[in-house]
Parts: sequence; structure tokens; C-alpha cells
Amino acid sequence: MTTITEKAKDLVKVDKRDGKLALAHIYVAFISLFIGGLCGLLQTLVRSGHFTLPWGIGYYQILTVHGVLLGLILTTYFIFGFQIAAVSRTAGTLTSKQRLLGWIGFWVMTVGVVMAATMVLLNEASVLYTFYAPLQAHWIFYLGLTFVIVGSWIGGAGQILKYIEWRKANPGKPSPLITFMVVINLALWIIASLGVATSVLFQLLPWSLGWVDKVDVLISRTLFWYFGHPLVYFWLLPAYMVWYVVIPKIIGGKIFSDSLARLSFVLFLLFSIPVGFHHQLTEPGISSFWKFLQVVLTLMVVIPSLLTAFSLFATFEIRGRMLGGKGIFGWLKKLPWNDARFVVPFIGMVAFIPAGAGGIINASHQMNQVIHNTIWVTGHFHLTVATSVLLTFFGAAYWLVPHLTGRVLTKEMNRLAIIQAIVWSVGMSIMSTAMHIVGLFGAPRRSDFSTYGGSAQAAEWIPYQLAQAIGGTILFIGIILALYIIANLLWFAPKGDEEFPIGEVSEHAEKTPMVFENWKIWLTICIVLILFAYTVPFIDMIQNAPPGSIGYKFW
Amino acid sequence: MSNKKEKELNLKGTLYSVGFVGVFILVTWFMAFYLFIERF
Amino acid sequence: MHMHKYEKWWLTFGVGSLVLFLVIVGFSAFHYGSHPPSAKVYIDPERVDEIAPFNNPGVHKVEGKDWDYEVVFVASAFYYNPPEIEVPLDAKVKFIATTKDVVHGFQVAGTNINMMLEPGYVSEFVTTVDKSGEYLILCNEYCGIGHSTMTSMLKVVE
Repeated sequence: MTTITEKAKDLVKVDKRDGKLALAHIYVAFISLFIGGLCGLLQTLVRSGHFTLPWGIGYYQILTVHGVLLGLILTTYFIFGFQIAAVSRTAGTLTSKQRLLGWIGFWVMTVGVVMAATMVLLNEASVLYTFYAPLQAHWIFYLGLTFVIVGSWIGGAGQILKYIEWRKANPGKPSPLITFMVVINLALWIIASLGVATSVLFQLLPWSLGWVDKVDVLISRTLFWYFGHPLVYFWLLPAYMVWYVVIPKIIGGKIFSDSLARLSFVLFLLFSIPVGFHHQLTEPGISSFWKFLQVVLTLMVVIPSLLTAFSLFATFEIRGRMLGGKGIFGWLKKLPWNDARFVVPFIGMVAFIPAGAGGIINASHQMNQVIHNTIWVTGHFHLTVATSVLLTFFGAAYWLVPHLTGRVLTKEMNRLAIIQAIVWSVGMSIMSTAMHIVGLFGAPRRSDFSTYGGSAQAAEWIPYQLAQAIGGTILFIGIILALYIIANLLWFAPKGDEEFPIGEVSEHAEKTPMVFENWKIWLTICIVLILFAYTVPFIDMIQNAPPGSIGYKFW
Repeated sequence: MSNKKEKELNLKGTLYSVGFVGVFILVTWFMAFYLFIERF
Repeated sequence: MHMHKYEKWWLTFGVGSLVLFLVIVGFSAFHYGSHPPSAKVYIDPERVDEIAPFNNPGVHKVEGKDWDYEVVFVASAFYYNPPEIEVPLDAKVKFIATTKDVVHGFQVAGTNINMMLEPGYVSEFVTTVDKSGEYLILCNEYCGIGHSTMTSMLKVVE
């Protein structure tokens, strides 16, 4: 089937210099995975009630490390490494200016990470990654996080410039699908992170430096959650890139529809930002009407995921039937169940079914009272980001890292990668299920071990917390396995050519309309929706602002 | 032409699969809603 | 854009389900008043103890209102005042709470009473306590080192 030109395309390598930039990001990502994962293990052990932290380390200190390193650092660095490689692979080698921007961004972010990490280690910033004003961290912590965000803008600019250059060189042609998706994700990230940057620069930094006495808590929370929800889509979209563009190639099939893939990404850009209130559903100071309006927009963002579910199943079924799969589900058996590059992300896709269902419940307006700030929510996002997204990132790293290092994924490593994903699924099923159930009983998230004054209700939670520790331990074994495989691919695997798989669009699919590349339309709608959802309640918050809050250091 | 090809695609399995996803979402949502109604 | 027949069915079903969810929660919120706690009452967080009703935390029987009791809570690191309350079964109760310092949570485990307390704002929630028992009240928003020891108790008695 494969023609010579297609074969040649398969062997297209990411330029060595771009590869180095991508790898630098991936190194930081996996170091974060180790430290952040270790903190996660310790948290589950502490909460089982059978373990106390040595050397005066605080529970909330390691919780801050876990959240910042895994939620912000691992994700952002891996995503940037992946996106740089994907743009270079499909839109062409970066120019030296674009690559320089990439490096400047990398170092600005990394300096920021070191600043923030130092303050957390010195116990000057146990405010968790959601900030929690008026708890007041050291100003260096806030400045460090500002560097991370500004660095990401600089690095992101390098990737966007490549896209602009490609469009100029290829007028009237739709851009390579994955490059288009990268640009959507960066647009989402930049628009969203403006919120948190505003809060840090104009509220938290001046306040922690002592230039102003007080901070407006509700505004800082609103700005944070304006950023905090699109943040989760910033994590998710690269996983969707792999599912839409890479997986079809790995299974030997075609992309079901280029247009539908672009449509779902555009919908994510439009609907994942004006929805932050669904994290603030039980807060005072915001009227039920505006909360409900954002709930409606939140459920709109489910639609692109519905589209994605269909496209993925269709891709699998078409390929499975091509290979002779019969009956309703016969095609499933024909999929490459021995190929880690497929199996590992596939498990991630399956996890997204309960993850998505839980997400709809969380966002359902007053129903949020059942689960708000219970450990159900922790169980939820350990399915979304720590399973769907993370396993997809692992699955992608298993070809991306050797592609960049000029090595290959051996049979043994492939087998170990599948075992790793199974270990992960077992550990996560135990931990996340326990979290979901005990969350419904009322057990809170982000809390140290406690018997709550001998409460009978809290006593019922302890067996589930023990289950979380068992799940957490299995997950940590999973992290060790993943790091072992990555170390092998970085330094020890045999030299060779590992493919960077990029799928082609099915001949059944329609020609892609150029409207998707019309950024004026999408950015305008995006901004109009944000203004629509936020302007009135935000003005209300400013006009009716109570006296602000002084800073507290309660840890 | 492309329309004709489209009809030839057998996506029965996909339909059942997404159907399962949909039913799962509905069932879990109504379970949570029941819990909300049942509690004070 | 052309879509496969089944994809249209799926989208209709999926979007239909989302609309159904929205109609259910929207109708119960805006018709039956089952709103999430969204009070817009403001207070100076540094003078909470002087301002009514927070100068007198506890359970108060009220007349001529839509509810029978008002339960007033003041939260501060890492305490709730009062540390325990008792209300009669089937009473309609308005919970009124605020914080004197950082953000706290106010969650009655196993119930829908779950609201954020933010400095400068008063949080309110009205419900009929129709099941007797002892319910743990706990802080579910990280507030500092003593966060997980911050509790109170709601007793619903016959």
C-alpha cells in the first residue's frame, strides 16, 4: 500500500537543533514527574494515617510541590517540547530566530521554576498552586511564576512565527493539521494566562512586596479561575493532537476528517475560557444567573469532546474493518494491541469516559454542592490530567524521545511500556475510585490526615484513604517504570530511526475549508464570549468590593 | 461522489460505542442528581 | 461540512442530553430557588465580631421569615464559632457564615451544605434539615497548617 513517497515522508526527521530544544523541555518535564510524583506518594501515605513526614516537612509543602510541579511544570514543559517537535516536523525546521525565542523562553521559564521552587522548599510559599490569597507567599514565589508564564509566551511566539511563515509560503493552503492545533493551543494559553498574569502582577506581587496593604480576594480568585479552567484544556489539547493526528498513523489508518478535527479545536478555543465560574459555584459575591450562564458555556465545551469520541471510534473501526474485522465489534480485535504507541494512549482515551462524565456532574450548577472541594474532585482530575493526558504523553514520549535522540524503541521497552500503562491503570483505578466514593461521603481534598475530633463520619473515610495509599504506591511504581523507559530511550537504546508518526487524511473526508485559518473570526468570537461572560459580574465585583484583605502566613 | 462513498462506510461499531458513552454519561449524571435531591 | 449519518445521531443525542441537564438544573434553580450559595452581602472582615449577626454566633429562632431558624457561624484560622449546634428535625434553617481572616470552606459532610467563606463576603444557604443525626462540619478549603483540625458539629434532633 505504502508508496515510495509516503515511505520517504515517514522518515522525515525533526531537525537536530530543534530536537535539542524539544529535548531540553522534556528533560525538565520528567525530572518534575519524579519529584512531583514522589510528593504525591507521600501525600497518600500521610493520609492513610500510618505515616508522618520526617524532618519537619509540612504536608501542605509537599502538596504545593506536587501541584506546582505536576500541574504546571511537567505539563507545560512536556507540551512545549512536543509542540516544538510537531511544528518543526510538519511546518519545517525553525529559523534561527524562532529557535532562539524557544531557548529564551525555556531559560526564562526555568529560572522562574527555580525561584518558585526555592521559596516552596524554604516553606515560604505553602499556598498551593491555586495561590489562595489572602494566604501570602514570598514575593519571589509569585515573581518566579510570572517568569514561567512570560517565558511560555516567548517560547510560544517562536512556534507561532513558524506557522505564520508557513502560511505566507503556502497561500491558500490549509496549514499542516498538527501545526494548526498547536497554534490553537497557544492562543488558548496566551489568552487564558493573561488572567493569572494580571492577578500576579497587579495584585499579588505589589501586595507581597508590601507596596499595597490589601488584596481583593474575590477578584484574585476570579482572575485565577479565568485561567484555571482553560489551563486544563491546554493540558488536554496536546493529548487530542496525538489522538487525532498520530494514533491513526500508528494503527495504519487515516485521519477520519481533517475538518472535524479543526472544528473541534476551534470550539475548544471558543468555549474553554469563559467558563471559570464553574470553579466558583459555591462562592458568595457572584450571582446565580452569571454562574448559570457560564455553566451553559461549560457544557458547550463538551461538544468538541463528543465529536472527538466519534472520530476516534470511527478511525479505529474503519481500520479494523479494513483488516477484516467482522460484526459490530470485530474491528476492535484487529487493532495493534502489542504496540505501546497505540495501547498506552488508548488506555488514556478510555479513562476519559468516566473523567468526562464526572466533569459534567461537577459543572452542573447547584449539583456542585455535592462534590465541591471534596476529594471526588481530586479523583476526577487524576483521571483527566493524570491518566488521559499523562498516559498519552507517555505514549508519545515513547516515539518522540527516541526520534529526537536518534535511537529506537526496542521490543523489550515496548513490552515494558505496555506493562507500565497497565500498572498505571490498576493504581489509578484503585486510587481514583476510592477518591470518588469517599468524596461523595464528604471527605475533603487538600487536607492532612485528621480524625476530625473523633467524628463517626470521618472514621468511615479511613479505609478509603488506605485504598488511596495502596493506589498511590502502585502509581509510584508506574512512575519509576516510565522513568526507566525514558532513561533507556534517552541514553541507552540502540541507535536507529524512530518514526515521528503523522497521519494522513482519509480519502472519504472532505476538502478542508479555509475558514478555519481565519483567525480574525475565531479570536473575535473568543473575545466577545469572554466579555459576554465576565464583564457584568466583574464590574459588579469592583463596584461592590468589600474592604480588602491583609496577608496571612498560616503555615 | 464523496456522498456515495460515505454511505459505504460501516460505522455500526462506532455508533454502539458512542451510544455506550452517552448512556454512561446519562446514568452517572442522574445518580449524582438523585444524591443532590435526596440530601438536605 | 459533511457528516456521517451516525455522527449526526450521536451529536443530536449528546447535545440533547446536555440540554436536558441544563433544563433540569436551570429549572430547579430559577423556578424552585435551588440556587448554589450566591449571597451578595458584604462585610468588613476586620470588624466581623462587632457586626450583627456575627456579634452573636449560634442558633436563633426567628419569626415572620421564610425560615424558622438562623444559624450564624464565624470562621477563623482554625476554628468555627460555635463549635457545635443543635437544630430540630424538619426545621427550615438559614445558614449564615463569614470569615475573619483567610478563605475557608463550610461543608456539612453528607449534605448539600457546602459553601466558600471569603473575607469581606457573607455566605448564606437555606435548607430544611429533614434527616436526624450528627453531621460533621469541616473546612474544605486550604487555610493553613491547622486546616484539617477545623471542625464543628451539626446535630439534627427529633
